[in-house]
Formats: sequence, structure tokens, C-alpha cells
Amino acid sequence: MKLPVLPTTGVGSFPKPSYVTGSKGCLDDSSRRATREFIERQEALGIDVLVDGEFYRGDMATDYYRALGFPVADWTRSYDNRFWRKGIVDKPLRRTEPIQLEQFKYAQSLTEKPVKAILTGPTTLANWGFNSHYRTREELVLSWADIVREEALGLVKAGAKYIQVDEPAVAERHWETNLFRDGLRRVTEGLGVYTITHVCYGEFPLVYPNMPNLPVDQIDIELSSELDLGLERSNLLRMMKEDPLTKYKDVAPGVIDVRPGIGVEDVETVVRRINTALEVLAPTDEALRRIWIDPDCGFRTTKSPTLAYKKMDVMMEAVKQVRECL
Amino acid sequence: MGLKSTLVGPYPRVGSECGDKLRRELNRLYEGNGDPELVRSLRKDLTEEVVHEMAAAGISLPNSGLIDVHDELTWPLEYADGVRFGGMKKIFHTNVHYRQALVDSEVRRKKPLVGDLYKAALNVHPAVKVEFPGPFTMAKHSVLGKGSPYSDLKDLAEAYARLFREELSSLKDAPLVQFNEPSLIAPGAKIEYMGIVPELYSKMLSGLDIPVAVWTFYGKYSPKALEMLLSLPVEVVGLDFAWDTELDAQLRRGLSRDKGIGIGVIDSGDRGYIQLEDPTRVLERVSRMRGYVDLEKSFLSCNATLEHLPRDYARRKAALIGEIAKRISE
Repeated sequence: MKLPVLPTTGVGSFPKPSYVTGSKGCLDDSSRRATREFIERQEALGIDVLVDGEFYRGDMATDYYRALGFPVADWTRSYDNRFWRKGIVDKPLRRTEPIQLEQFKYAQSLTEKPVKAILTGPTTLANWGFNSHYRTREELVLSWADIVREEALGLVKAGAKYIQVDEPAVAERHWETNLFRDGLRRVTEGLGVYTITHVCYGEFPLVYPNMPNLPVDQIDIELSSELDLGLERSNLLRMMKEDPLTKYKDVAPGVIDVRPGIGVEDVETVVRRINTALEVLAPTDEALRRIWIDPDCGFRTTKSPTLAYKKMDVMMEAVKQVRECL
Repeated sequence: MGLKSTLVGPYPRVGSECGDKLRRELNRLYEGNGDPELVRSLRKDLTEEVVHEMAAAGISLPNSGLIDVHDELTWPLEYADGVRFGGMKKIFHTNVHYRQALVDSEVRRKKPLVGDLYKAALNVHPAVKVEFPGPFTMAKHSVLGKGSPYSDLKDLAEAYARLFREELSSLKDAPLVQFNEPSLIAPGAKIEYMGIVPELYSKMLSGLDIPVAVWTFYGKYSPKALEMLLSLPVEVVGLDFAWDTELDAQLRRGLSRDKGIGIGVIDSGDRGYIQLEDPTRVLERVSRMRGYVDLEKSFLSCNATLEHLPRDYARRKAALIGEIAKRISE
């Protein structure tokens, strides 16, 4: 597939319209309808690689625990008034049936454009739950990697051309970077499709030196707040400028802030963020061709489909303006 | 008197009728439909409930549960001018975030940090610990803006310490004021930064007659870090015995008995372990400390906040702490 300069994509989730009743992994009629409408909207906007909106999902980690038959504990807090339920690995990890295959096949059946198949990564699954079975972190993370690998193979067989492995936990245990990389490698090695890892809201300077070694084609990184800080104040941007990730990988800097309570950015703000990202990551034409544009993370946290659509409009208009100036 | 007991950081909010109602009402408030008065009232009720729960578990010095803080690290800056919140970052070892503080101008306290919820806690228990993130840790998680009058980490940490000093002058009756400083021992923490900490605390506490604890967690202690912590001008130093399983031996080699130790031996669940500790083993471990820790001045505790556990587990861990402290005291 031929892509334009600065191809656009999404990260995954979208706020559920009020009519969506299902969740916890189940693709019911209401989430099919929401997926269909979201795919149509992305096509109309001209987004290059689509996402399915994850309308069937409850939580990106908890759903996996549920799908594999593990108990799920009561709520714990992430920040402010946001909570999630941690699953408990209390026996060996085993996958008896696909977790997201049906959802991907449905979304891809709705469009000629490629739809990213999005999986939660092994380190994130390990960190965001409890473990009372495996004796070591290595056993736990790599066992999760085997599960995610099986899922990825099924998706590739079903026609997925882009596999994204979400690893927001990338910097939570920055001293375990080798284990993080090994887990990711176990998922992506030899898949034969374009692979991405999405990382967000982490202390990235702690792990940036290891990012070139990650076994994926693209690193999709939440970056809006760092881009707003600018080169002078952002340690991460200075590290990127010194040794641009585009020397090693395709990079998708997030340029739309999806945190709760953040309104719709104006186009100028997003143009400025993209230009800062290009200043840092695209010192050459070759590097420019390695940059994709997307939001910081899935839009679910914005809570409002209307607001999220407005943010998508702004992103596409900003990309258009930047492309015209290149 | 014997070994006292305490808890650290925010207590789990949900898992009771009141907590679940508060979560739903806050969601409604954020969506523009909630009732701020009802949120205030639920927060007060929940504070009383969690302090009662801690006391019922046998915790001799509960905190207020901190059931209204956004995150553990930078919340006091909501009460200050000169700071705004920028990016959200994950912190520690599970899905937990804080807001990075952007310091644009001089940091000034605009209102008291300790208010109605602390008073609500005192309705339930006669002695309640006051707890804040420490000025060093807050400075480590802040970014200096273009208009900032502060030149570096030390400068900013001192500005935050002045903010707390102002607050401390109104907390003369508090049985203990605790500053949480996980950044002092975080994996990869640079020892050269730590040189600023003794002076920071000396300046902040100079002339104030308030018992203070500095609490550290989620890391291991180099001999230098431990020496620095034990030299701080505070009454209690909280140490993480759950993370650093070799800490006992280090302390045995040369601990001055003039300080109380926060014996953070019960794992808070942040690393993904949910099992309850074997009380006999904990009892034996703490009993062995008698030779080098003054247990009369010390507190048995979890290493850090129990908020990373579901409420029912937090309650059981609190009960374990209360029970072991009681048995040691007997």
C-alpha cells in the first residue's frame, strides 16, 4: 500500500457511544454498529491505517485475564477517579481460543484500507495484574508473551498487515529493559507483517537509549505534552534530537492530547507540535519518510465521541497544512 | 507503650457502598452533572469510614486515608500559585500516574493543604498522622518553566520546603507529620543529588517542635543513602523492608538507636504480589530487630500505600500489621 508523507493512523480505542451495551471483550450488535460507524468516519477523514475503536473492550489488561479464565479482583486506582480491575494469575497461562480474532475480522471486513490489529503487550499484562503462580518475573512476562504471540499469529493468518503491541508499561520497571525487549521479541519475531509498539505516559528518558533495540518496525509514542514543553525544557526531546529514533525505526509521535478534561486543541497548536516533532525526529528527508502522525493514545479517555471526532478533525487538518509546507 | 503501627499513603477508596457512590458521583461531576456538595459530603463520610477501618484493624496511628488526592506525588501543588500541571506520567510499578508539575513562577502557598478531611479523620480517632509527598520527590517530578525563578533541583526543592514550612506552623498538634520521599531510593537514583537533602530538611524544620517522619519506599538502600537518611533531623525514618530484604543486616551493623524506624515490612502490592504475609515469619523478623531498633520509638507498617491492592486485601494487610504490632508489644 502506498502511503503519503506523514501517514496518519489511530492508536486504538474510541469513546463508546451511549448505545453500546457490550464490553469485556464481547463483540455484540451494539459494538458492531459502533465499529462500522467509526470505520466509516475514519475513511471519510482520509486516515491511512485504521483502528477498530475497541468498542467491545472493557479494559486493555483485564479483558485478557477474563478471556483466559483468571479471577479478577476489585477496583484499584490508577489516578484521580480512574480505576481498573487487576486480574490474578493463579495458574499457568494458557490460551484455549482466540481473544480478539473475531473483532479484527469484523473491522477489516468493513473497509479496503488496512485495519491495525491491536494487542496488549506482555510486560503491560504482567505489570497490571497480580501474580501468585510464577516464581520469577521472567517466567511471568515470557509466558504472557507466548499468549500474545499465539494471538498475533492468528491475526496475521486472518490477514492483519499491521500488528500493534500496546506497552504503556514500558518504563515502569526501567531496570528490566532486556526482559521488556525479550517479551516483545517473542511476540513479533518472524510475523512477516509491519509491527508497532505503542508506549504512553511513561518516564521515557529512562528507557529511550534502549528504544532503538526494540524488535518492531515502528514506535508509537505519546508526545504532545513534551512537544508543548519544547526542546529547551523537555529532556526527552533533547535526547531525541541528539539521537533521533528515526535512525532506527519508523516513529509515530502523538500530537493530540487525549487526557480527560483536555478540550479540543486548535489547529495551530497541533501544527506547532508536528513541526516540533519534525525538528527533533526528521533531520533528513529519509527520516521524514519514517514519521507517522497520530493521537497520544486511544481516545477512550476523552469520554465524548463528539469531542474525540473534533480532535480527529483537527489532527487531519493540521497534517494537511504541514504536508503543504513540506 | 510498645511498637506502634501505621499505614502509608492513600487508602483504597472503592470497595464499600460509600466509596463506590463517591466514584460514581465524581464521574457525574466530571461529566458536568454531579453535585459538588454531595461529593464533599461523601468524601467526609468516606474519610471517617476508612479511618475507622484502620483503627478497627488495630492501627495505632492512622493517616486520614488521603481519599481526595489526585495522585501521590504532586497533589500539594494544587494548593500553590506558580505551578500548573503538565503531562501525565506513570510512576512506580503498576498502572499508576502522577501529574508533572510545571513551575512558571515563584511557588507560593495559596491555601492550607490540610483541611476538612483531616478534621473528619479526627472525629473518628484521637491521633491522626498528617502525610505529604516530600519536597525532594516533588521537585524530582517537576519541570522548570521559562519564567521560573528557580535554577535547579535544589532551588526548587527548597521552594517546596518553604511551602511545607508554612503549613507545618499550623500543625503543631499533629502527632506525626510524614514526608514520603520515594525518589531518594528509587532504582537508578543518583547519590550526588542526595547531598542536598539533609540541609533541605534542616531548613524546613528548623525551630519547629513537631515530630516528623521521612518515609522511603520502592528501592534498596546503599550504605551512603542509609547513612544520609539516618542523619536527617527527624524523629522517624521509614524504610522499605519489603523491597530490600538485606536491610536488616545493614541496620544491624550500625544503627544509632536515637531514631524511630518505620518498619515497612508488609508489601503493599505495587509489584504485583497479592498474597498475605505469613504472620509468624514477620513476627520473627521484627522481633529480631529488637537488638538494634528501638521498637518503642518505631512503627510497624506497610512499605507504601495499600492503594494498589483491592480494599478487602488492604483491610487484611492492615489487620496483619495491627495484630503483629500488638503481639510484639505484648
